[in-house]
Amino acid sequence: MIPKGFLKFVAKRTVLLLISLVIAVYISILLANFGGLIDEMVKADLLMSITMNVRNNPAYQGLTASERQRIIDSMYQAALEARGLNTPFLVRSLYHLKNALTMDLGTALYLTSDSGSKQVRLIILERLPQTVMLFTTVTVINFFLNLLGGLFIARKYGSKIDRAIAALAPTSVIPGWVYGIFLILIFYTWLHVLPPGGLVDYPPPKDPALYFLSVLKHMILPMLSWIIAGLFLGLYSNRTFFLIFSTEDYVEVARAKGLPPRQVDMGYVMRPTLPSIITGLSLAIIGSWGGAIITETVFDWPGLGRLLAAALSYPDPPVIVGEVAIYAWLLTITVLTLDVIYAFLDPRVKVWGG
Amino acid sequence: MSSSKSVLSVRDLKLYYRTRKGVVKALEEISFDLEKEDTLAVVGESGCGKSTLARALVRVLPRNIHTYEGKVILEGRNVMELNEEDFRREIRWRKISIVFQGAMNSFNPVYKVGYQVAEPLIIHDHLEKKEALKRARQLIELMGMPGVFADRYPFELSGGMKQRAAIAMALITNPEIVILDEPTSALDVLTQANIINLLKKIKNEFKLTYIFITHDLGLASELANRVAVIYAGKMVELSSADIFYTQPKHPYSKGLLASVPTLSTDRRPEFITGVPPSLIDPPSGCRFHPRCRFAWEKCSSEEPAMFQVGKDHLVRCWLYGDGK
Repeated sequence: MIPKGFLKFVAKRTVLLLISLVIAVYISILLANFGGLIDEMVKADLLMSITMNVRNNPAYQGLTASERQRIIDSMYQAALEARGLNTPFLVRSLYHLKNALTMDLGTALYLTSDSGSKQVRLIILERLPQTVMLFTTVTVINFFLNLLGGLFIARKYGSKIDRAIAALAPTSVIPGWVYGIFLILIFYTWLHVLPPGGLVDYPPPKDPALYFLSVLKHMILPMLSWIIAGLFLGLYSNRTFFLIFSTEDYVEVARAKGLPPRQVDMGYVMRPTLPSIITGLSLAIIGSWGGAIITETVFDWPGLGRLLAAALSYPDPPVIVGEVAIYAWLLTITVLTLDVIYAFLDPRVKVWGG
Repeated sequence: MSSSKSVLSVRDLKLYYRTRKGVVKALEEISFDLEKEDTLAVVGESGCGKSTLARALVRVLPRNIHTYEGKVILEGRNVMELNEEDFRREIRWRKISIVFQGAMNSFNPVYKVGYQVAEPLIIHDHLEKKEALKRARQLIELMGMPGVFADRYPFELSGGMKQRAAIAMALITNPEIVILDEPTSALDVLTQANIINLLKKIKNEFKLTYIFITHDLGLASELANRVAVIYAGKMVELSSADIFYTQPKHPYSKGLLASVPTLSTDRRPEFITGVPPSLIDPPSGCRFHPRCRFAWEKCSSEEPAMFQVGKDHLVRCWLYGDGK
């Protein structure tokens, strides 16, 4: 059933995508480590703490300065060796690369997970579900709302609602968190009906069902802020997209053939554009996995965005590289999957040659 | 002029578009009758309103419609009075089908050709998909193509093949009238000839009535028994083909025919001076008067009606008017 040459096509695409994956992860390793500067900072920290320890240790009080210095030097060298800091950064960066690509994310320099672990993998996994729950959900809602709304408005071209959407589209430059602040003012400060932020009520309900409902309640305002922020531009761009594709000759033929309007919209406007629609959705979903730094801060939401912000401000390279590596892998896998899906959705794309 | 035998009678069809620059008077005072198995060639320059006429008859109109009125009487009923849904159910493809200009793009790229040919049967006659596909395949074979082509995607067919498939699609529901909007304009000359022969053949087999829209007077003479000339949105001459090709009356028709090169005579092709007028602000009086060799004062001040000059022969020109 698998077409001839299909495996060759997949293999070729995989190799190309893996090359870009390696390059992207390596660049982020260089950047996150400030080109090796972080190692020097860690070394300086190490030297200082060893020196302080030796100076303050009563057991070494009787020694001369040069003897103490020798002890400090040997302890420092041992510590460097133990952490692999005695090898040059360029060599170390290749180890980092290998570890990042194999998802061996190592330990954080400063950050810890809520359960107290320094494992980068655990730190990220602890935040990922909240991010997916909030941002992926709202991304999917936004996507379908704008898609179907856009199709509806395209059919009402030139009407009052169409012109209103076009006029309001530029308001979407205002980011979601701005609306978030106003929503908090209205629904928390003024009306007292919704919580201003956080993941669950305090103390968290014991019953899993109540816990879930409490989380849902906390999701309403952040989701609403993103829906409002994305709505008008989303509707406008989808409407324009469908307007362009509904002037294709085959759409007019379908209308002349007497197809019901719904069937024309679905089969002749939407269906031929499905590859680009699916690309849009997949990339939006991947985008949502990065979280959102400011929105998470405004709503005090424990997600990946705030983790990344914290990791950047320390800076904590293993956490930064860990987030980038996970993200890069997800993106690579999605792009590869899309390449294959296109070939099945659009008969013109016979990627593996005829 | 109206006769009881006519399948289609159009009376004062008018269609205006709204644009930024103003209202485009794309079609005005279009009236004609079609009898069963007639082929009416609608000829004229690019932009004169030929294709707009085709679209107006099946009511597939662009979004910027300003005015759309008149009478289109199909089998004794004015279909202009039908609402959109009834028009879709009862007229489109049941009574009138159309082969659009540029059949290259007439097919949805992601559905197989056979399915698109069969689709009207599924929609209008509620046939099972399998049965409809079988009928589509038979019809595609009748068009001179292998039946297996029904299982191909549009991009896997050549231009001529797609045109044949588009004709098959237009015939699938056995409509009364088939509108052919420049059905061969994008094809090479040999393929053109093949398609015209095919159209002749199926016309006899299916007892069809054609409205054949073209700018090519030579092609029109192959098929048509009647000719309508449109200039700047108005019909200027309507006659039988025999008379039109031998004794055209309207100065514009004469110019058009004189501009066609011929092999059999030494006559050099002539041309009509000037350019077609703007349809937003058409000339006063006769719309052709700025380009007409015979024009006098009356032509620029008063608009001529369609004057009868012979049996079934109408001309919109003061040269044949009552006042002369």
